[in-house]
Amino acid sequence: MKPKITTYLRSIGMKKPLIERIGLVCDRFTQLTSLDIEDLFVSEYVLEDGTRAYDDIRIFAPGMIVEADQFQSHDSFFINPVEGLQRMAWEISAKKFDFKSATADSRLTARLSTGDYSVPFKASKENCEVLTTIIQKYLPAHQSLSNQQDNPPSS
Amino acid sequence: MPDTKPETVAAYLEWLQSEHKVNRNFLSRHYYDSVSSAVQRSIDASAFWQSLVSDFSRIHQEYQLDSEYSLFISNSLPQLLIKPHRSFIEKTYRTNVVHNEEWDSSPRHGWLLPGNWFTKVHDVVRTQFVVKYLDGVDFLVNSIQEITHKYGMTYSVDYEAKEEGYYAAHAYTEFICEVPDVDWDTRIITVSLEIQITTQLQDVIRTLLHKHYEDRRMKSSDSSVKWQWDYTSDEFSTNYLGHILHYVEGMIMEIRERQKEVAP
Repeated sequence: MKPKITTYLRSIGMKKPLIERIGLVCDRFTQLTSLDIEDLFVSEYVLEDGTRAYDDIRIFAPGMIVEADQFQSHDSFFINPVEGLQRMAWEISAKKFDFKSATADSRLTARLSTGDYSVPFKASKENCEVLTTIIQKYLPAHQSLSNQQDNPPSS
Repeated sequence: MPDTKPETVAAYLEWLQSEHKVNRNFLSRHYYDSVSSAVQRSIDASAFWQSLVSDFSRIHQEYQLDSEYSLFISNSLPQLLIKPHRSFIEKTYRTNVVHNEEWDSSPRHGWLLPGNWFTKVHDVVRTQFVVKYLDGVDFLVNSIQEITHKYGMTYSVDYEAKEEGYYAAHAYTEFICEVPDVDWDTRIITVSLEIQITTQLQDVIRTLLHKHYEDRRMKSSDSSVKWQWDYTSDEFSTNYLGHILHYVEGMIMEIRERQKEVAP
């Protein structure tokens, strides 16, 4: 697993056992596909007591998005080949976050969709900045994130 | 409410969105996996579950001392299993539509909807014990009850005896869990853990018939031909096999008890 991924995982408070599990998922993916992992994102949310609950992993590789749901207990992942990630649609909601600097109260949810396929992302605190970077990377070049502070999630 | 029943699961999902204004994100596999995983982790970390796992050997030994037989067929510790998303949605479909005798009104106990279905569907997370002998079912039911009492938890048991030849005890205890909402919030819900206790012969039957049960469940109950009269069907032989095996297990217990009486 790339050092930048390990650094990212530690930055969102993840400890060694879970980092190793994610390392296992990454190794299996690269063994299976021989593809380079371009980006990795951990969907997480904050519980009432302030601790983080880690949900799913999203891996971006050339031409595909990989979902490792329930990664803490399952050794499985779902590879979804997508042609042209930049042609997909993003649905974004933010709370107390200006898409630049996150605080402890910042929250960001996003859903990446194309046709029948959609995959959710959830971020809190500093992870909002990481998700923003990913969204910006995979937005079409002429688009930009508008300020959607304190928008409620769409129904 | 339109009178046309959704005939497929896909149509049912559309019906939930159009008739009950359900946000489609609540219906997604992602959301279900997120919630069910949170519930599983919660139960796994609970004092009750830790106690049950650590008492596994003790319970086994107590039965052995009492009966001189092994309780379990394997020393493998129980695992917490999550109901697959598809099975979960199909279960809500059966309750809301297929077996809803009040259609197009709500079923007797109300609609299963995202606001309540994780509470009302009692087997989102389950575990299973397989015992060697029929009396092991009751023994384990009571042993688990003692653990729930120790932690002041609710406990209920259904002794299943289905006409399809399925026999097992399904015990339930409840947990308060914090689960994610579709947005960034969390909510507190009550969920059940289903504890299935069955015998090794019934476990074999269930494995053989699992696919058949799944198919049958999705059919309306007013099928024109009762399986009990369709002796050419797979249902006829396998369902009666389940009943026969249950009878055989009862006879085995009788022989065991007689041997106990005769033994010096």
